[in-house]
Amino acid sequence: MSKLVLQNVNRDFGGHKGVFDVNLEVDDGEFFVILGPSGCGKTTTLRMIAGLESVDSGHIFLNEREITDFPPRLRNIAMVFQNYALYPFMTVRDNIQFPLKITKMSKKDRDAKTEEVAKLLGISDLLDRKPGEISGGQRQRVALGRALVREPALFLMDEPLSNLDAKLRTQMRVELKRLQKEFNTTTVYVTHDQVEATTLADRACLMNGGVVVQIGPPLDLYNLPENTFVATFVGDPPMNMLNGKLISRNGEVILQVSGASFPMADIDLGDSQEIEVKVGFRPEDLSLGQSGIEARLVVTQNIGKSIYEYFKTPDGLDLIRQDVVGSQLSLGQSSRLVPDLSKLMLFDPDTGKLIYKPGSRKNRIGALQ
Amino acid sequence: MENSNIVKSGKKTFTEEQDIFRMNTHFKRLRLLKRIISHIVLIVFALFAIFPIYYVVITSLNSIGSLANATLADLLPSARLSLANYYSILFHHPFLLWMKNTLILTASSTVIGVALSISSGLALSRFRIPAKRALLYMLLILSLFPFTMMVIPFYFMFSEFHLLDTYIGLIIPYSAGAVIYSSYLIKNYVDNIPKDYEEAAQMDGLSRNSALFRILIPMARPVIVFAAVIAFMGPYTDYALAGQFITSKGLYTLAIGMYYVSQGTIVINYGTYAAFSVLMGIPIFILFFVFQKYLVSGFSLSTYK
Repeated sequence: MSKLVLQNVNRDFGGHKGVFDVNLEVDDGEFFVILGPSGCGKTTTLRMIAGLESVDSGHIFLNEREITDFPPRLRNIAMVFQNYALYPFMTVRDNIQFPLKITKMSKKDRDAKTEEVAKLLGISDLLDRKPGEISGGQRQRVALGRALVREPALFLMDEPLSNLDAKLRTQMRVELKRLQKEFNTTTVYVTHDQVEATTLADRACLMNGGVVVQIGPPLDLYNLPENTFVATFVGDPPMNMLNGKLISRNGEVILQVSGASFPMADIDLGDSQEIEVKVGFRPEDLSLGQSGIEARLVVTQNIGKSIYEYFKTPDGLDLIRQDVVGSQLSLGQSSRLVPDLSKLMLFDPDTGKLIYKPGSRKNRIGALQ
Repeated sequence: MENSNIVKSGKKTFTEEQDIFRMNTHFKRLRLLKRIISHIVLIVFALFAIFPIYYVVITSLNSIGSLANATLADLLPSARLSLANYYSILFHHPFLLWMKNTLILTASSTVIGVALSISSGLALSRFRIPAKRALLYMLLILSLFPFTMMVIPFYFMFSEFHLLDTYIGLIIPYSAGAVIYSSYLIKNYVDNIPKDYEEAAQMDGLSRNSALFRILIPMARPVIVFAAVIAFMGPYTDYALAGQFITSKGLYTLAIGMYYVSQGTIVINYGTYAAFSVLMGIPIFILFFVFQKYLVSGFSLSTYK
């Protein structure tokens, strides 16, 4: 059992930098990802869990024991650093068994454990080399080995894949997930890469400006974003976001966006005649049609399995469309774009909060009045 | 005339009508010329650097009595070469005793100086210290003062403490001198080592301080060796301080010994002086040779990325 709880954790660096009132609960054996842009406080949060950063106020519990002010060495937490931080003057073997050596484990047991972990990670033949003599991917494995060998209560990983090339990163993502399930160790993983978050996480937490914005399974972040920040951060290419208006006309509610109108059957505006909204729709939910938002094709990107088309509306707004078949338009050609109304999201233009999504309980438009 | 077909190189101008091979030959010659010129410059400067060493070695093997009798011909190896100077130093004077004294002094002041520099260098790099900038500036300014300036104040101080003419009286100022320079050097090197390493060691189970010592010291090995060699060189060749403080013959260092031995009855005995220099240079030569690998990276201050 190793459950991690953060309660109202604060760390103020001044100038609105830091981490503010973070509450997290990570269950036993869970793969938990903290996602966010650089400077959002995700690494600071991880370092506070590790004990490398002090906590201004709030509490951190591991296994229902408070560890807020524990020194790092007594927390029983292993960490994988972004640059791996392998000790360059030690062999791979000594690097992996360094934590065991500190616990004064016998050399025989240490060697046995090291061999076992090395075999699991496929680095048995590298044990006598120095970190400077092996490749980046191999170093990554050694760093993982040093964390695994201790069988800690908690794994912390700080962007462990960001120094690898794209192909290796994809491969290591799969392997990380496999290892984590095999060892069933509670893991907190920090990344700015939403692909890593969606592929690895059981649950993810999105941070921005030192504050937790949304916590949930990665698909929830994608399908039911709390606000415009989550909506545009999660998803690649990002969600299209345009200013629009909801207008009540003859008892019917119409959404006006960039010169086009769409009937919104299931919205009740109550007494108000007009509401400003932000309209969000994902690139894959946009199709070509006869009537819709007018836009001109500027750039196409073919990535093989699908094609991205970048459009500009007459008022200079950018739109991205994703299609699985080849482009039907030529560059510079104008067309009409129709968002899938059943997947459209509306946000409050002032607070950024999601106020409407078809078929979801998040319909808060009535509450706005 | 089309401009696009003209290639200019120095004063020469080629047009496309001219042979393309001639153009290439021109650049080839130019490159060769540049290489020849840079080699000549390097060789001239190397000669300037090597000549004094050659002069000392050849003089040490000469048996001429004084500089007044020396001619240019004496600069060439001749039949008059002899080991008499070396023989006289090694067998008519307590050279080995002086060597022992010197090594005791230099080794202990190097060890003490470097040990103190490591702790102060690590502290200056990693800890929050009040008035750290002021401290660093002070170190920098102190390292600009010539060592000989300290001779007189040190003399008065140590005469009060009855430390003149003792090992300790020299070891203290020598190691203090090493600390000034080396702690600054080590601090700069350690600044370039990412904190991740000692943090990883803390996660692995070490306390903050043992993480610093067990991880950063091995990682800073090049600069520590560099600092140690520098710290060794100063006291090893020092005459200013040792010459004033040491009066008993049994405590003579090599530098004092050299002065003592080369004093002839009327003139300075340059042959002996040169032979002594060669003998004194041998340990330094060995030191540099053994630690060559570290010295190169210590000089360049390159660290782990």
